[in-house]
Formats: sequence, structure tokens, C-alpha cells
Amino acid sequence: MKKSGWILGVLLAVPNIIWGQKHDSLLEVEVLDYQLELAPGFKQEILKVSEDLNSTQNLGEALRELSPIFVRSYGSNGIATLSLRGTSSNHTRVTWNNIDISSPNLGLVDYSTLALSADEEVNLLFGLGSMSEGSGALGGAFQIKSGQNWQKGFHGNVSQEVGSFGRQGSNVNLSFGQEKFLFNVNLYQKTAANNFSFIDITAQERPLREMTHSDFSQKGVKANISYRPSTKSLLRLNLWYNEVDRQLPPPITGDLSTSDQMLDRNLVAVLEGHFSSKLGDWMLNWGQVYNSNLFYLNAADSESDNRFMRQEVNGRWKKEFTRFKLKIESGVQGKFQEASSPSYARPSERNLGAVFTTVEKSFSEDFGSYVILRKEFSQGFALPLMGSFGLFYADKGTAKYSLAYSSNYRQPSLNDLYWVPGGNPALRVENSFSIDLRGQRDFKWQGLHFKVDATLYYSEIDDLIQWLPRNSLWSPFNVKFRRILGQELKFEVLKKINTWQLSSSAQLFITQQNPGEASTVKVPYSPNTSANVQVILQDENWLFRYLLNYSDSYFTDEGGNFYMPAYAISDLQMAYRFPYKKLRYSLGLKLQNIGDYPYQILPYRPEPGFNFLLNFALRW
Amino acid sequence: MVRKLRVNFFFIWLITNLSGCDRDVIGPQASRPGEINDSRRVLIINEGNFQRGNASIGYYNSETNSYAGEHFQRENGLPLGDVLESVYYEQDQFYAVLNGSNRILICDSSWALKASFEGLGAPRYLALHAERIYLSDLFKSEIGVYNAQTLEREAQWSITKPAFAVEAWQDQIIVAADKELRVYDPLNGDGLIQTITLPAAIKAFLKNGLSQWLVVDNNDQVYRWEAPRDTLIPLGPLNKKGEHFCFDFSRQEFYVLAGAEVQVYSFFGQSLKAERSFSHAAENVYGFFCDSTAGQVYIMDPEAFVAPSTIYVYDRLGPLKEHFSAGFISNGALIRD
Repeated sequence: MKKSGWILGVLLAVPNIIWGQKHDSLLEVEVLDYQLELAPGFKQEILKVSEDLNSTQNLGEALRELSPIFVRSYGSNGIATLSLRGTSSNHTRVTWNNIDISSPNLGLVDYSTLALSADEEVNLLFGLGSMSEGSGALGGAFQIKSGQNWQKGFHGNVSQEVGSFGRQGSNVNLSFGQEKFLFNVNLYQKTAANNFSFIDITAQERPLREMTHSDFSQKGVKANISYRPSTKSLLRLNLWYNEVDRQLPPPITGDLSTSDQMLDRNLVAVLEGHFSSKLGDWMLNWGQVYNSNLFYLNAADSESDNRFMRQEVNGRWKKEFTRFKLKIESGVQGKFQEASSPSYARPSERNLGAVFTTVEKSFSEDFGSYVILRKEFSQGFALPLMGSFGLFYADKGTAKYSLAYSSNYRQPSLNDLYWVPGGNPALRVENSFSIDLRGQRDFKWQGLHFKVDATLYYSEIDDLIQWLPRNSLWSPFNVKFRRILGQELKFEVLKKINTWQLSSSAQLFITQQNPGEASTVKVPYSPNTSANVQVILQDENWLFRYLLNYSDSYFTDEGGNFYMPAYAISDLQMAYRFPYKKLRYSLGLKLQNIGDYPYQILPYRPEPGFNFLLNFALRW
Repeated sequence: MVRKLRVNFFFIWLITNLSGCDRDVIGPQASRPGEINDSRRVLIINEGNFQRGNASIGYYNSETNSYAGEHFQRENGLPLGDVLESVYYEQDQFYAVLNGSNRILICDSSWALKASFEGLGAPRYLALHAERIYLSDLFKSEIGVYNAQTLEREAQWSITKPAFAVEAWQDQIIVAADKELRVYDPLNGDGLIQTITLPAAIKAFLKNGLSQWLVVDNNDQVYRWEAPRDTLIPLGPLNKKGEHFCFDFSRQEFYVLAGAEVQVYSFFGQSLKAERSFSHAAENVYGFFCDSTAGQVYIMDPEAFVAPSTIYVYDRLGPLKEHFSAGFISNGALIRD
């Protein structure tokens, strides 16, 4: 107790001595930041992690906590993939500061490796809305964007979290800003033993066992340097190094005294320039992504080093022609990708060039339409023209309605094409189209502010790629066709009570695969219904949040012979923020799975029961 | 005050209930458990997907064309494990070798679990001889030797490549790995008696009805082996590249699955004789098995590995008799007459 009091004293005093003397307010300047134009027919949500409650959180954890998106997690520290709108895990794409960071080898993303900073925003784009950035995201895309906090002087925050099962993490975020210059560096690290107890359903008496060989360790640094030569231009360099080292235990039907091991390392560099002139707004960027995935298979005592490198350049221009009520955005893109794996005969390359244009026309104050067209060129593939056409109607800002028709496709991954043995260079692209109908309405009733957002969509994917054993050899083939009908509903209620703000939201996703068909074929790991409920009560100092995440039961095989039971997990979170001199402190507590509900998302991979996370943060 | 309390209680009730669902139902559940059938003759081995823990066994009743799966789970209330590579029935006991679980389960004749022991990492095939168990591994170039009573590992034999077959034959232990057939004498300090090297890696190693063995190499050359200390007798090449092989003990017929066709050979002196062939309906074949007594051939199609396998039952002369749905990735069968 004496020791912890001493530590607390130091934490309170030292930053005050070092940084407390200089603290300037936000600069009153308009910060130039080229925003990608998104077609109004598509649904998007903003996701942001709370620095009061976490020091470290990855995108997989954040999505499981704050959205109804079904994240397939291989246990508490395992790989996390997801399916959006009933599509497969390789039908989503992630960009960081407008550069694609998804793996071309596998064609998917491991969301458990993507550490999020508190100043970053994740834009969740549902459906085919990200097509101006590239093809392939048939389910949706996640755009992670670093913030720009143009604050004069030296400022930042430090935070430390401790929690159940040996979890601890820390985060240091330092910034130095001047009129024309901003430097920001963010360092983070996290470790967890994940030695939680689980009910062993593979033993007769269902004993309580402790998970072993499940260590997780992550560290990384994100930095950005921004320079504003004028109020109309901005140059920026973003850097991100991330490393995740973890043990991957087998399912509990396996030998728990052993584990495989995986080391992921990523380096991303993005240089971008934003310019504004009478001729319009411009954005040029160049990005380089290096990724190494080192996997150790314990049973075979063998290692496999899979790598990729991507260089990407983008040029975008947009302008609003107010006289004609017209907005135009056009751009070009080049991608140069190289991947290597012990399972490739030689390093494999894929280069791609693309042009796109978006035209949005308002016919009146309320009504308008848009068209997006994108054409990609890639060696060896006949790529179709993709695009979207939509109509939108806004009724005095209180109601919005939109209708969109879009087409998109996904190129086979490099593993699909070049894996030895079995890779199939004759694969075709997967084709998709979707129709989205969306309505949003804001209204007030008896002092309550209501927001309703409803989307109905229908999509088809043809020539889906699946690996099949043929002639004793596994190979991918274009074999499947899938139809998806879905609804996404969001209902929010807001109320102000004196100094308190009460907000509540409920989101419900309903997906139907191959609707109306007599076919008994099921889509594995795709719950028909998932929901997320949040109740937040907060004032200047306090935050209370109740979260509920629900997933309906889902089949684990196409025959529908086995299913995973439905689950509903509740969390309680609270934070207390208090100023002390010129510093702001916060203490956060997350109580997760408060019902201590035993569940598994993937078969025989238990998830933790009740657990907590305590976070201390200091900002200046 | 009472109203406030009610609201609070309602809130607590809501949270605990929403966190609830059924907490006794954990992990994968069978949607259609199916009926238990009386027949215990044809045991279907369902390997299951790697790291999914969905290996299973079931019994097929050919009279009613019905399959009753998840037999081990019904008997013991437990999942069988991860990747059931092979099953043996020796001395009134079943031995189930689970590759992904690194475990060998020993069960009585009705599949009640009696004991289990750990393999070398990824166990594959097993032979039982004179109170000892010999176990091969998918990745390790070793054979584990275990005491069949205590289940303790007593020795490990080093071999050149991971073995894909280990068999007990005429008081000797035969290990097939890559191009080599190794013969060990377990009664003589487990000494290596002889090594036979073939021109190409061994693809199949199966027993025929005369207590002889047939060997097929990657050049599709077939050999007969009459005794462990003998050399191999070449019988000639197959007409088509074979992928799966089985033997009809009763009729001394050798079945070779080659693409969409099953070719049937007999033996004529020191050579093979093509007898007939018939086509089959399976798209992907993972298991191929002869029921010598009933004169039937089982062809197992794992249905893209994401749905229960379809098993086609053919008459030995070619007509399709039945087909039924079994567990995940059926790789073989075991007949107890």
C-alpha cells in the first residue's frame, strides 16, 4: 500500500514538474485534411477507442465491444477475422492513412494485430462503399485515419492498464506543435498471459482448467510529422511499426501442453501531400508496407516465413461546382506488390493500375444522385468496369433516404494463384453486385432525441473461390454462388439531464443467406442475427457504460449438422476524469463478461469468463 | 422509493438474464443427433477438420441404409478429439489415434473410454504386438514404442523419414517410410533385420487375404511381399495412376481408384490382370474401403471438407447400391464380422 501510494505520488508530481509549465490552447486555424468523398448511398460508422478506459486496444477487440459485427476469434489471443454482411473473411479491406495494409498473400486481415491509438478514427464502411479506393471489399472496409491535433507546445498523455490474466499495457503519446509544424509519436506495448479458467468440456466431470501456452505480447510505435507550408497545403509523413509475438494454443481437444508460435511484424510508411486551390482540392500520397509473418508449427518443428511488400501511390482531386450543384472527385492509383513464402516457387508479384471518378449532382435542395466508375488494370486478368449509381433524398435535415446499386469484384489472393502445390493460376475474379436502401431519421419527442438508421441490402457473389481436394491435391476453384439479404438497424436515444448526458443505442444486424431457396447448404460462422446495445451516462467527470453483445447461434458446417450456441456478453465500464492543476487524470475500470458466461466463438476455443481491466491515464 | 427499487431490480434482472443464455450448453452442438442403430458391423472413421475438434465415429447399417454418428460422444459424453487418423480393434479393445490431439484413446468394445496416452506429437498409425504398442508420427522420423499395460513410452526408433505405415506381421514390425520398408524384430532387442529400398516412394502398403502384403510405389509399380525376410516380387504396373487402394480378401481382388474410375485387378501368377472397371460419383475422394464379406466398396467424399462426408457404397461389380451422409472428412472404415 505504501509502495503504491509512492508510485501514485510520482505519477501525479513528475509530469507536473516536467511539462506542466507550458500548456497552450488549441490553435485557431483550419487544418487542411483531404477527406475521401463517399457516395451518400452507403452506410458508414465512426469507431473510436476510449483513452480513459484502455491504454491498448486492437481493432478486433474494439469491434467485438462496440459493434454487432461478428468477429471470429481463435481464443482470447488468437487470430481474429470477421465477416461483414454475410461475406467471407477475405472480403474486407483495411487502410491506414489511405494506404491498403491488407495482406495480398491471404487476402485477409488479422484484426487482433491492428493496435488502435486514441487519436485515430476508424471509419467502418459497409458494403461496396469503398470502391473508389480499390476493388475486393465486397463486405466492407475499415479506414483507419490518424488524427491531427494542432496544439501548440509540448503535450501528450501517458497511460497504464492492468487487468486479469496477466494483462498489462502502456501507452505514451507525445506531441510537439508549432504554427507550421507538428510532431507526434505514440509508443505502446501490451502483454497478457491469458491464463484464464475455462470449463473443460472434453473431460467427463467438466473440470475447471487453466489455459496455458497462451502468451501474447505486442509493441509498436506510430509517428507522424506534419508541415504546413501555407494554410492551403499540408505535407505529412506517417510511420507505423507493429510487432505481435504470441503463442497459439491448440483447441482444447488438442494437446494443451504445446502451442504453435506466431510473430507478425509490420512497417508502414505513408508520405502525403494535401493542397487546396481554386482548381480544387488535391491529395497525393505514396505508401510502402512491409509485412512479415513467421509461423512456427510445433508438431512438425518447422518454421514458415511469409512476407509481402506493397508500394502504393494515389492521386486524387475533387471540386465542388456550386453553380451546377455538382461535386466531382477523380483519381488514379498504382499498386506494386511482391510476396514470398516457402510455399511459393518464386516471389510472386501483382501490379495494378486504376482510374476512377465520382460525380454527385444535386437536382434540388433535397434530391440528388451520384455515379462512381472505376477501372482497374492488372496483368493477366480481365477486370470488369465496376461502379455504383445512387439516388438520395434529404428532408430538411431530419430525414435522409438513399438507394444505391453497385458492382464490385475480388481478385484471387496470391496464395490462391501461386501456392505450391495446388495454386491455380487459371482462377477468375469473384463478381458481386449489391442494392442498398437506407433511411435515417432524427426526431425529438418529450425531451428525448431519437435517431433511427435502417438499411436493407441484397447482394450476390458469383464465382466464389474455394479450396477443394482434386486428384489428391488441394486447389482453389471458382465454384460457388451466394445470395445475401440483410437488414441493419440502429436506434439511438439521447437525453440531457442537468449536467448529465444519457445516450443509448441498439444495433441489430440480420443476415439471410440464399433467401427463399430450398437449398440446405448453410454458410458456416455466419449468425443470422447479431446485436450490440450500449447505455452511456456521462458528465464532465464521470462515464458509465453498459455494453451488451449478442450473437445468435450459427452453423459450423455447410450441412448444418453442428452449431455453436447463441451467446450474450455484458460489460460494465466506468471512468472518472479529474483535473489537477494543468493536468487531467482519468481512472477507468472495465468489468467484462460480468455474467461470467462460459462461451466459445470457435469450437473448443474457450473465451475468458469475468475479467477486469483497470486503466490510469494522464494528459497535459 | 418502492418504484425506484423495482426499477433497480428490473435493471439487475435484465443484465443478468441478458448475460445468460444457457450456460450449460458450451461448445459445438449437434443439430440433428440422429438415431442410434443396432448394427455394430461397419464403423465409419471421420477424421474431422484440423483444429476443429470434430472427429467422430459412427455405425452404418447397410440393411436400413442408416448412419448413426457421434457414437463416442453419446457413449462418453465427450468429444472424441481432433483429427482421427486411424482406428484399430485388437484384443476386444478399440484404439483411436488422434493426430491433432496428440492422443491415443483406448476404449472397450462398446467405445466406453478406458485409458489414453500421448503420442510423439502428431500420431498417425499404430501396431500392437506382444504387449507393446508401436506408433508412427506425421512429422517426426521416429516410431514410439509403448508398454501396452502401463502405456509408458519405453523406446523410440529413429527412421529416415516420417512413417506412413506401421504393421505387425509374423512377429515382426514393419515400418514403411518414403522409399524404405524396414523390418524390426521386437523379440530381439527391437533390432533392425532388413531394409528394402524401392525405386520410388511408397504410396500404398496393404495386406491381402493370404497374409501377404501389396506395395505400390509412386511409379505405380505393384509388388507382392510374402514374408518379412523375403524380397519384393514385382507384379507389374497399374494401367492408370492410382490414388486410393483397397483389397477384397475373399475374392483376392485388388481395387484401385484412379480419377473417376475404379479399376479391379486380380493376380495371375507373378502379374496383375485387369478384370473390370466402373465409374463412381464422388467428386473428391478421401477414403476408399473394401468390405470383403459383403462384396462392397465404400468411397468417401468429404464434400469440400466443410460439410458431412457423403459415402457411396458400390457393389463389387460396379452398380451404386446406396449412399449416405456420415461425419466430417470420412477417411476409412473398420468391419467387425
